Amino acid sequence: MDYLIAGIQVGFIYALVSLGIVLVYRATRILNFAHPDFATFGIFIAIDILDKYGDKSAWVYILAGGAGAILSACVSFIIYFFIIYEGQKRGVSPLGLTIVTIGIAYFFQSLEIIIWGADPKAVPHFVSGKFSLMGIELTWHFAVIVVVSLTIMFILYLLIMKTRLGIALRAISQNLDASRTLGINVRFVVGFAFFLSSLASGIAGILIAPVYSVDQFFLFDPFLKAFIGAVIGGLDSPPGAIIGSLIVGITESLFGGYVSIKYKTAFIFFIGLIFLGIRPEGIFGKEIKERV
Amino acid sequence: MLLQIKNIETVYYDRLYVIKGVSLELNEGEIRIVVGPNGAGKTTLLKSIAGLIKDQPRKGEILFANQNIARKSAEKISKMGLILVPDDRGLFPELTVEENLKLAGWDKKTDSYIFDIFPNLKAKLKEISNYLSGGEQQMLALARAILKKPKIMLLDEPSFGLAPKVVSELFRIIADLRKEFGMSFLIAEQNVRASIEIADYGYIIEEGKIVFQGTPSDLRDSELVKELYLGGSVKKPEKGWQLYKRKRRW
Ligand SMILES: Nc1ncnc2c1ncn2[C@@H]1O[C@H](COP(=O)(O)OP(=O)(O)OP(=O)(O)O)[C@@H](O)[C@H]1O
Ligand SMILES: [Mg+2]
Repeated sequence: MDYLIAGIQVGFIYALVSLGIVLVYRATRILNFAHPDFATFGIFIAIDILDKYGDKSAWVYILAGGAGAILSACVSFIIYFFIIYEGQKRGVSPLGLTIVTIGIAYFFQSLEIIIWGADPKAVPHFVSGKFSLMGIELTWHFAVIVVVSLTIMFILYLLIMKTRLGIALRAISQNLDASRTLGINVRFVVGFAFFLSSLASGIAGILIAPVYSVDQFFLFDPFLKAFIGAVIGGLDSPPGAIIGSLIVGITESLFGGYVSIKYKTAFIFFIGLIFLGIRPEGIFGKEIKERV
Repeated sequence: MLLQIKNIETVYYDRLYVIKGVSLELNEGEIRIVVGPNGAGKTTLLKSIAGLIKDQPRKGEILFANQNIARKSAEKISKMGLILVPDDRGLFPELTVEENLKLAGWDKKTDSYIFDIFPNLKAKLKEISNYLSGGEQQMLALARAILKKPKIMLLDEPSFGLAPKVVSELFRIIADLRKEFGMSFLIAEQNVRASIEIADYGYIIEEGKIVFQGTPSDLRDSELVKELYLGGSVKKPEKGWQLYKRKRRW
């Protein structure tokens, strides 16, 4: 039971990261390898803010975490707006730009070492203690992760489905030329997708930071798992990404608990590969078709 | 003159010459058609004007309201008031009719006039646009373009795939739009018979060049058009590399 709960907990984290991957992929066909690094950058700032306050009340956590996540989102927006978009405008292919994001990832990792050093940092828990729900013992940390994740998913859903910006974002992923002829500001709207994407990951990173030791790479592993979650659920489908990520989180945790903790990551990759083999578009994805 | 195209040249991949020095004009409130066989370059011509082919047209000028819009971005050209309705209608297939309209600035309260022009759309607002019939999709594409209040609409084969009755309705609507809003149209068509009825002037394009131009009666008298009317016989076999490029265009 504990493994299942741990799996759900980490599954929600993967889901938030995975939503970000899918949002950007849908709009650009780019796999953003700098995705975890934008979030990490914000988290370092959040830690700095936390360190400034001796008294760590819940409000300080929310303030620091929120500021960090918004900063990640802004960094992400700026990188798209000034670098990636310029590449797109010049006709660089999505694959080429995916490789550019690897370069950007290295840049941020190095920058973080220069500013904050290479030593991992410990982030204190923001909630502690347990409670019992229908006979199941749960931590408050678990509860916060689930509630915050669901809230963010719901907000993202509203933003993407109901607002004009969200409609424009979906339009761009369906027909870029038509979006441009209708005068949709592609640069801004896709920048908005990057913003949301990193906002979600930034929050995911902050939620999970207390159980990891935070260094430049600490979100890379969740990023890979989230990516596999997205592959399983469908790189094109936000609900698919959420469900795929939960599957990954739960499987990983159960496998780690009952079979072998050493090989759990390898096992997840193995499952990802199997999915790529039998259903490359994922459970919820549509048939993969290239965009021109 | 609203639109004046001077000797433009469009080249794909730096070596595939598709538009080879085309000049044409469009006055305010006019409907002009561009007809020609498959592969003549009609679509390429319209896309070049709308700014949808990167860095093209690489030569020549496109004066729209006395500004050169050649190689300007599609967003900018659209904002200036020139809109292309492409041959695939350019809808957002997974969005509803309403969402498609909203992206063109449709406002529930003030823009009900759109349903006076296209009454069919009103009952289908919540439908996914991909599930509309071909005719309805074309109407939606037009409605969306109208909402942008353009001065010029470029229509790429608007009658393609539509039943004859729908085609005549479509051209009637286009003629009405010209009358009511004073919009100008440049229409690429294979359906000469229907489009010539509403046209003020026509061009025949073959292999990227204008080979004939004139008023509807000039066109009706021309041997070239008679050939096109008959259909089939003008369709030149494509060269091997053309076929290859065409296949590659998923
Ligand atoms: N994106 C592209 N890349 C390369 N070549 C292209 C591209 N689009 C069109 N062509 C080529 O340019 C030529 C003209 O094509 P275009 O689509 O403009 O003709 P068209 O007159 O619109 O034909 P149709 O009546 O079939 O629509 C063709 O030989 C075609 O293969
Ligand atoms: Mg065409």
